[in-house]
Amino acid sequence: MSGLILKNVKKSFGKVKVIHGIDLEVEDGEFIVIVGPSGCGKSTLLRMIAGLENVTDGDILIDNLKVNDKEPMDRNIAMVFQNYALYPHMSVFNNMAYGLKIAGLPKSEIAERVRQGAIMLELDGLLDRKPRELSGGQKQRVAMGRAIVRQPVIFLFDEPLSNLDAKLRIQMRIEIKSLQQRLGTTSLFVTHDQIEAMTLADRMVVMNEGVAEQIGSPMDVFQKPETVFAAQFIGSPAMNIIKAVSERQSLKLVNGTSLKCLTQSNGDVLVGLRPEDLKPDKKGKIVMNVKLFEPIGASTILHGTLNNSDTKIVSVVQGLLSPKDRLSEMSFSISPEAIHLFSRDTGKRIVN
Amino acid sequence: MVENRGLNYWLTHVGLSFGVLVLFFPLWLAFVASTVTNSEVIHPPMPLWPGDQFFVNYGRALIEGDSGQTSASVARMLLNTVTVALGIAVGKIVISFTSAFAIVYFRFPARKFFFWIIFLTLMLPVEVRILPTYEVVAGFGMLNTYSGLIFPLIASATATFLFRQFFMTVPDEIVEAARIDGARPMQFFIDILIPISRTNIAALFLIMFIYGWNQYLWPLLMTTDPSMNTIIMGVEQMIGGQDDVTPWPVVMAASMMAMLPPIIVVISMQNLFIRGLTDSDK
Ligand SMILES: Nc1ncnc2c1ncn2[C@@H]1O[C@H](COP(=O)(O)OP(=O)(O)O)[C@@H](O)[C@H]1O
Ligand SMILES: [Mg+2]
Repeated sequence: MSGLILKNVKKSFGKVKVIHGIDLEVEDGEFIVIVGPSGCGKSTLLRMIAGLENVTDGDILIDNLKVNDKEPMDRNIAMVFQNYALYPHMSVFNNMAYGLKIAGLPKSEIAERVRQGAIMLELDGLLDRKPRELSGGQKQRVAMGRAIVRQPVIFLFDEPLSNLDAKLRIQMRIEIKSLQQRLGTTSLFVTHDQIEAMTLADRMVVMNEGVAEQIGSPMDVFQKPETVFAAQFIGSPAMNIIKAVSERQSLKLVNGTSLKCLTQSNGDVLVGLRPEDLKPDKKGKIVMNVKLFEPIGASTILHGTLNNSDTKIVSVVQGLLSPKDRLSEMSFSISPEAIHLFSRDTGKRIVN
Repeated sequence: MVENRGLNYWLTHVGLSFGVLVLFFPLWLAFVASTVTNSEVIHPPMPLWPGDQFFVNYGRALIEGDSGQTSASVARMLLNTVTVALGIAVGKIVISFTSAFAIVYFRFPARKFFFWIIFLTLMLPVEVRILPTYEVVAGFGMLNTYSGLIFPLIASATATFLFRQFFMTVPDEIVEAARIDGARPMQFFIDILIPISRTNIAALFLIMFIYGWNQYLWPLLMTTDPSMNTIIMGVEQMIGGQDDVTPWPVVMAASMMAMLPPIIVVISMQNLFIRGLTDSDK
C-alpha cells in the first residue's frame, strides 16, 4: 500500500504554467523532502496535496483514493506553515484542539489527545498561554502539535524551520526527524535548504522550475546526480561544471587539459567535479589560479579559475593552509570514478 | 526624549493649560447657566459661578422637558437617543463586518461590481438622498419609529472599508489553517474572524455610537411626535420657536445631560479604542 501517489500533476495560474507534470509514489511512513530554489513551485505542489489549490491536470491519491475534489479536512492531512499560522486569540490548548472540536470529538478524547501531543512536544507547561507569549521555537512546536493531534495520514511541512535562528533550526530538524520516526506518519517536507533535505529525507525530490529533476535517496542524488541542476543544487560548495569534449573515455577540458574517466561518450559534454574530490597533488593535471582562500575551520575553501580559461572552480582542502602553502597556483588530481559527465544539450547524466 | 526640565517644561504646561481653559470656558458657562434662574441668565452680567438651582433645573429638564410643548422630557429623549445610537452603531458594525467578510473571503460573480457599488455610496450620505429616503421610510410606515430612525443610517461604506483593510492583513495561512482544521466559512467567521477583530470592532463601535448620537437632520425631518425626539434635535427644539421666553437654564441642563453619555462611552472605551487604531492582535 502506498500513502500518497501523484500522477502527472500539473498546475497553471491562468496562462502561467507553474508545475509541469510531477509523478511521485510515496511509501507508507516515508519522509520525502521536496527541495529546490525559491519560486520553483514547491509550495504550490504541497498546497495542491493539501487541497488549498486546485489541481489543473493529473491525479492525487491519498490512501489509494482520488482526492482532487476533496476539501482539505476530508483528505486526512495536516499542514505546518512557515509562519506558524496559529490562531492569535486562542490558547495553546485551543489552538491544538480547534480541529478536533470541529470534527465533533468528545471532550474527554480531545483533552487526552492534546495532553499526549503536548507531552510529546514538551508543551505541557504552556497550554494556557497565548501565541504572543511564546518564543519562535515554541510557536513552531504548537503548530506541529496541532498537526499531530489530528492523527493524519500525511504531514505536510512548508519550510517550517525558515523563521528560526540557525541553532534552533538544527535542533528542531532533529526533533522533527525523530518525531516522524516515532509516529511513522508519511511526511512531505518542503525546503530550499539542501542540508535540511540531505539530513531529513528518506527520499528527496529535487525541483527546478516546476519539474522534478531527480527523485531519490540523498546519497543517490549526491553520488549520481541525474542532471546538472541536481548536481549543482545538492552539495556544498556546489559541484564544478566545466565544458569539455569527450572521445571514448578521454576528456579534453575547455583549457586543453586532458583527463581520463570511466564513462564512454563522444562529443560535447559537461564535466562535473565535486570540490572535495579535487585532491591537492603537485603532479596533478588540473591547475587552478587561486583568487581567494576561505578558511572555515576544519577545512579551507579555495576559489579561483581553471588556468588558461575563465571557468570558475572551487575546491575544498582539509585543514588550515599555512601562509607558505597558500600558492597562487595550485595543482589537483581527481580519480576517474569521481568524474560526472553530463550531456551539453540536455543537461542529463551520461551513463553506460 | 524631549527636554522635560526647566523653562520648556513649564512653558509647555502653561500653553496646554491655557488651551484647556479656552476650550473649557463655554462648557463652564453652559454649566453655570444650568444652575441659576432664568432671569439671572437673561439679565447681564452673566453669572460666572454656579447658582443654587441645580436640582430644580435638572429635575425639570429630566422629567418635564419644556412642558411638552415641542419636546419630550430629557429622560425620554435620552432613552430614544441611546436606543437609536446603539441601533446605528450595532447595525453598522453587523452590516459592514459581514459585507467586508463577503468581499474579502469569497469569489462570487460580480464581486468587483458590488465592491464599487459600496464604494459609490460614500458619495451619497443621508443629507444628499434625504428626500427619497424620506419617501421610502414614509412608504413603509416607519415615520416616528425607532426602525425608521435607525435603518437609513446603518449602511456604511467607511466601516466596510476599514474592516476590509483589516481582513486583508490577516495572514492567508490562518485562513488556510482553519480550512485544514475543517472550519466552514461561518465557523471561521465566528470562531476566528470576530475574536481577532474585536479591538477594531470596539474602535468602530465608539465612532459609530458618537455618529448616531449626534444625528440631527434625519431625526428632525422624520419625527413629528415629540415622544420620538432624540436629544440633539430636542435641545434645539426647546429653544425659541414658541412665543414665550425660552427656559435657558432648563435647555442648558438638557445640553449638559446630552453630552454625558458620549463622554462616558469614550472614557470607558478609550483603551480599547486606542488599541484598535494602533495595533492588531496578530
Ligand atoms: N496564487 C498564485 N497566483 C499566481 N501565481 C502564483 C500563485 N502562487 C504561486 N504563484 C507562482 O508560482 C510559482 C511557484 O511558487 P511557489 O510554489 O510559492 O514557489 P516556492 O514555494 O518553490 O518558492 C512562482 O513563480 C509564483 O509566483
Ligand atoms: Mg514556498
